[in-house]
Amino acid sequence: MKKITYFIASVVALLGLSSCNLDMRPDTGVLGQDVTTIEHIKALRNGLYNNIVSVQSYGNQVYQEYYVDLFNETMSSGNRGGYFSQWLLTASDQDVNAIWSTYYSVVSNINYFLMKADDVAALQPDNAEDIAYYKAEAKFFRAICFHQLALRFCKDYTPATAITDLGIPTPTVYNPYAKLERGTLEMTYKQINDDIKEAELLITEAGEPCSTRLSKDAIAAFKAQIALHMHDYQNAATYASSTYAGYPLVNSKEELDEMWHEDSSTEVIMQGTLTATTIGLVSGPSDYLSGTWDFESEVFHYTPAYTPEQWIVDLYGFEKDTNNSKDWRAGTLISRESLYIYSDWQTGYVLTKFSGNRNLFTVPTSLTYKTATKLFRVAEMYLIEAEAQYMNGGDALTPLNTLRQHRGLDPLTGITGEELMAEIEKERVRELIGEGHRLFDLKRWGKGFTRDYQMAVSDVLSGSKKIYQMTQPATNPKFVWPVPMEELHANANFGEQNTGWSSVQ
Amino acid sequence: MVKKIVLSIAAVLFVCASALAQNKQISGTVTGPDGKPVIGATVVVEGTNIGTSTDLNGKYTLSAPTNGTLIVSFIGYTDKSIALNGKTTIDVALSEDTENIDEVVVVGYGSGRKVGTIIGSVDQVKADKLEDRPSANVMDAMQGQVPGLQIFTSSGELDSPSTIRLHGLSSLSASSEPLILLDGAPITTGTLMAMNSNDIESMTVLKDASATSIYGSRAANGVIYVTSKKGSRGQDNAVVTLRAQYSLNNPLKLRMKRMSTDQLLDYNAATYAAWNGDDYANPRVVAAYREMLAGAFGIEDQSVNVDWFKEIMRENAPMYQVDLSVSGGTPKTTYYISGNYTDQVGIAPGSEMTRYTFRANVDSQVKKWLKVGMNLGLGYQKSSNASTQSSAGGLYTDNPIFASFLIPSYQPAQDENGNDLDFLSFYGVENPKYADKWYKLLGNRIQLNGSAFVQLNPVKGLSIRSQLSANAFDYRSTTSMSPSWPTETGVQGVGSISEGFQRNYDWTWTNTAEYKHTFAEKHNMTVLVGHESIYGNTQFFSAGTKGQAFDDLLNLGAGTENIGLPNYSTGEYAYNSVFARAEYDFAERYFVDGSVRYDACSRFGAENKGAIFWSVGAMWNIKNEAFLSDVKQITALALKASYGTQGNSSIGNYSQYQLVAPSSYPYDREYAMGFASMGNPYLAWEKQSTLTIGANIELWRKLSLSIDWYRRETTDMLMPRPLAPSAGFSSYTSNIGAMRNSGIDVGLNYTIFANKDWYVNFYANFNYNRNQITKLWEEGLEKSSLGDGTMMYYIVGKPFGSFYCQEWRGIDPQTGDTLWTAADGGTTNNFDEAVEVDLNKSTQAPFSGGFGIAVSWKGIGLNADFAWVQGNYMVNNNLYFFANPDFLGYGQVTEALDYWKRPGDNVTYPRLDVPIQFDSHLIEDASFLRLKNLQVSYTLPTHLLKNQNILSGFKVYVSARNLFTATKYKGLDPEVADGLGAFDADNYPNTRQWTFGCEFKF
Repeated sequence: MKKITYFIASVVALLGLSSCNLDMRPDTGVLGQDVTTIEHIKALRNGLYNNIVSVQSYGNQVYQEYYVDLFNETMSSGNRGGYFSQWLLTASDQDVNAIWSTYYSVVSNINYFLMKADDVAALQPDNAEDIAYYKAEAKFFRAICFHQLALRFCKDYTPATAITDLGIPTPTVYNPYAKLERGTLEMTYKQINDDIKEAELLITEAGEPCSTRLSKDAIAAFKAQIALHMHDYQNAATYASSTYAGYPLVNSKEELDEMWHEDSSTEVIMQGTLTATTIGLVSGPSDYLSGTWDFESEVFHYTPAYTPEQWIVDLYGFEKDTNNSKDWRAGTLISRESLYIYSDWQTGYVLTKFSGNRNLFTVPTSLTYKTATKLFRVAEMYLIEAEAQYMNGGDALTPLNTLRQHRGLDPLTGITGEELMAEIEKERVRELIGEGHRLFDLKRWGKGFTRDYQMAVSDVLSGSKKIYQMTQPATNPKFVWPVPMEELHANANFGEQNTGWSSVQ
Repeated sequence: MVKKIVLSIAAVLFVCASALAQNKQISGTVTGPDGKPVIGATVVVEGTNIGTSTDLNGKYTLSAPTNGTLIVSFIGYTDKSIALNGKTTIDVALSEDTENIDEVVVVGYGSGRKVGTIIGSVDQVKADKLEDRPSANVMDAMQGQVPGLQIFTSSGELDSPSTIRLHGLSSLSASSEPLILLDGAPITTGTLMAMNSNDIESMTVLKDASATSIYGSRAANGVIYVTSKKGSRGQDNAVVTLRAQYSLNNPLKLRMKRMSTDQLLDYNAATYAAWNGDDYANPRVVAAYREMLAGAFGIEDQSVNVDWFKEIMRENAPMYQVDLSVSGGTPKTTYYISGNYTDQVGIAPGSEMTRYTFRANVDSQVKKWLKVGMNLGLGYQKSSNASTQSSAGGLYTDNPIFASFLIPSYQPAQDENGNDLDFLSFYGVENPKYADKWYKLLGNRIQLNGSAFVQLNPVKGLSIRSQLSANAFDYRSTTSMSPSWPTETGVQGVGSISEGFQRNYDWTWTNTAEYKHTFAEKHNMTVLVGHESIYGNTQFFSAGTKGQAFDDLLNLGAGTENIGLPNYSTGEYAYNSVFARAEYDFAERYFVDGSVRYDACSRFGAENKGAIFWSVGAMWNIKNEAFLSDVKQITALALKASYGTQGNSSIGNYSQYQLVAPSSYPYDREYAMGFASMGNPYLAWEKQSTLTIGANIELWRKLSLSIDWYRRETTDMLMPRPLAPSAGFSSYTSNIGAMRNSGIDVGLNYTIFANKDWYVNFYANFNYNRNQITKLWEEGLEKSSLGDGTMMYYIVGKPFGSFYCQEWRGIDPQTGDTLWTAADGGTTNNFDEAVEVDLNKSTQAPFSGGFGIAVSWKGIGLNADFAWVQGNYMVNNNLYFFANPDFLGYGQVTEALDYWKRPGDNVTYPRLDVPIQFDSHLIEDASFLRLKNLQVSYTLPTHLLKNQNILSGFKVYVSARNLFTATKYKGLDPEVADGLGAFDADNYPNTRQWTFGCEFKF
């Protein structure tokens, strides 16, 4: 009996000893339920700006550039982007999945923000006005994401067929478990326009060059892009030209160089902030260059994975085998340099547009390839107006020549019809190369392509002439990228895969 | 601090060692049944603290009261007591203890139990299998030793942990690693790897519910109980052991051969011809293209033919290991103190490790009713890694493993002056042989494993014990890029470095009360109750700077600017548990036991924090029945069964919470935050139940056989449930799936021959494990892809990692096209029309085991241990790169030369202009049989050491690890794979080692 008493006493003593607290919360984040103040909402709003600046950064725009007739893949590519360059995409491609998922992840962040913003506005009515403004910004960003997705994963918006053409899911509420239908392209663009409309109700102030926040002008620029892609030329021209006054075109080669290599220009309607601290936020397209400094001869040598095609080089009007041209962009954005690819020394042309903001270089001899994300540029607005005027039978030469003259080129006179359109197309390539527009332009114009290549790199190109002399007719349905298999696997409601891509699951 | 600890330990030892009373001198010799002296037998005077142990000649001397009684004991022999009655010389002959030959095993909490009386399924591996091994990784020596325990040393990197699986994979999202306990306290695999294997007395693998359920929420994958060495009570003639060994490491034999320059250029030329639509079967066409290509590539000297694998990989990479231990004890106190130094170089450039460990284990019976003890292990490990996938290299061309095949043979290794090149211009990266000069991946870890206990025995049979354990380590990592990093045309000129600091610590406080009692001589019972609290904490931060201009000033403070903001994270978890266990047996014939445990864990949602786990078990020891007592041939026979539940809580600390976290980047100088995690507030334990039925038999005391059948059911399995990417997420973790592992373990041990001079023993073990997914996230969902590009599906009724993909059906002999299975079951040469097919192959090996033999003759010993697995498949991802004409300009392997040239060719590779696809041709049988360890040793006979009293034992040995591997797998090493166990791409292979060692005992 004594033993048992001992035993029970010791058990009770043991159980009475203290235990650990089990309510453990992370101290590196805030629980969703604790997002209750305007400060949280402001911080989340800045997070959305980060999201857009990151997803739209130039390193993420390379894939659609590799896909068309702008660049040749060299033996230095290490197969980076090779499936795009070689037209070997499949619905299982992980880069395609990453592009799709990243934009939708930003959309989800936006929808979460909108939900929390409503919660906080209800708790703190005094801040309701600010919160409404932030919500307008968020909706605008959502429209950008939907548009970027539509450009890649849908056919060109053709007013006559948009009502039946396939769209993309457009989630507008935070719901991780949603399985949304892709709907029609008409529905997709309706959602984009609805978001823009809500944004412009509250975002009414004009911006200034290199604004880091949304302005009325950024909205106008986006509306011009959307209108052009919707073949709504009247509006495209109107919206585009409304931005000219506040954003004068540059007047010298030096100023043009500053726009790309110091992130400073009167031409930029809106760009993301980029500092030494935030340089990791943006992705840089280093594969156009991969430069290393030669300390002896004090020049950069480049090992590019992708070099501009010969017809691109020709567009800039270089005097033969020099860096000289009237075009200010020649020698600054595209340049004849020393190339060293696969043990082969050559001199050839490379895209130097994205060598990086030199004010942020750690040392001048080491390139970063990090350029501030320019969400909207006025130069594109002139090109939009030119194309829209041409399509509408208006005065296309004036906007085209205005831009040309601010790029060191002579104005064109007396050309019309297809010849004029060809000049507009060429100007778009010269001005927008590397910014990820051409695939979408070709779709809009209903054009295919044929590649060529610079002789300087002919020995070190990747793949066969089937790749570097590739022809793709406009009728090839694969101009529209495949919807990733992950979406089709997880979303029974999604609908059909795009035409031309295997739907084997 | 360390100094203080050492001093206090020294003081404790000093106090304990003095204190022997003065009485009459008694001496004598203790012999065994064969008349030979018994070394190390304990001789104590009954009822006192006086005692000693016998020396190498079986002799003892002690002072004892003349009317006292001596008790002589030695493990495996029956205790003998002799009244002194004034005699001063007492020789004792011990007889073998036929009842008590089993050793003690710790099962659950509480005191140890004799092996034969344990209901649970347990396997013990003793020090002799772990000592003197040529690997610094203790788990490597465990491979093939325990039926059902699969161990893969999945990287040749010296500090990387092995993969441990008991009875297959039981979880997809939570960990499948067993719970590892060091002297009762949980430790990580990494901590075990960083220990000195010579400090380990035994590793006990607890496999069934009866043995593991008492560990509750952490026991779903079994338990490995590691016992560190202790001194022996009363052994006042301390044993000092000095061991030294030297090993040489070399790459395993290659089954893929690099193409020579000649082969490669012809292959490239033929490819080029094919792309241009020319007849590449015509040698003249190929020759013309070859000259064209050599010109285009700028290959000046076609006689350059470098074997880059040999060039990059180190040969005879050395390893030194020295350790010194002292163990002994007084009648009241035991101690074991050791120190170890290991220095090892791996075969891949940059792979190095240096380790120092110290251990002091002391316990003392300070009062008749009070015992205290403390185990303390300290370690410091410094390592440097090769830039392979396991560290940071990834699938990059400068990964040395990858590069050793992909660098073309015509890439010279030296410049015209005979100096090794810094930059390889045909390959486009710095010379991987010296990559560690410019790209450093360093880490160092200081670890402490300590536990202290107090044990009270207030009344006979009752022991109350409180143990507090602390396991902690600090890990510092450094990654640096040197400014002299070579480029095509010189050097980078600017360096960068980042430093990380991680601190992990956890406390485990365990309080138990155990009561053992025997009623009416035949009813034995044990009851145990306990409480346990565990608290764990992890902290991490890292920072980086860049702009360093000098190689010798490559430190965090020598940069010119920061690389972003520093990273910071912390994590905490805690468990509170109570448990109880009861055991009963009748006359050691009929045994039953049961346990129950309640666990609450911080990692789960508020509604699901707590859970109860329980087990029941029964055993019938038939040998102890009267009807078998006369059957001399059967020396042991028992049947047992157990059933119980366990849990798995190895998930993230905060997976339940929806989180918003600070962004690493301010926007426009303002604070920014982002959505970080969707969280699942309903997250709960992964539950498991295990049913085990087993039998073991021993014949003639020589041949023992054990068979266990088990079935483990995992339910509420944590699984990533796919979400539509368009909703913003790819998946979330939820308790949705179910999985089953069922199989049998067979263990066999046969002492073929044992006499005065000879000892021959053979062992073998075997496991069959059938892994099946039994439920996916939706009712009726039969299969789902594991993710595109993996070639694997989850399929209900099939093992995890089942290959289900486009099936390669060979090369059409007429056209040279690759053929795949088409929708109608026939073949197609269009990959887009190829359908996914269930290949009935999986990454999980259904069969595994090991066998070995130990032979000794008069001090000469031979040990051979083999380990094998059979029936698992792996993607030899290397071949996608090493046998693919698209990789023009890179090195290739000779296998790719078997390509189609003309109609009628029966080959394995298609026409050269047909792209190689990622399909089933890469899936290879990864079964292997490996001679894990071969050791020949010589132990000096004791009679040669008679005439001196310095040395008491001497042994020399030579051993080899991975000396030979039989496999069909063509990659570098069938044992290595990625986390899924499915892909072998650029993995760092294991090595073959020769070791020479010697051991002195003083």
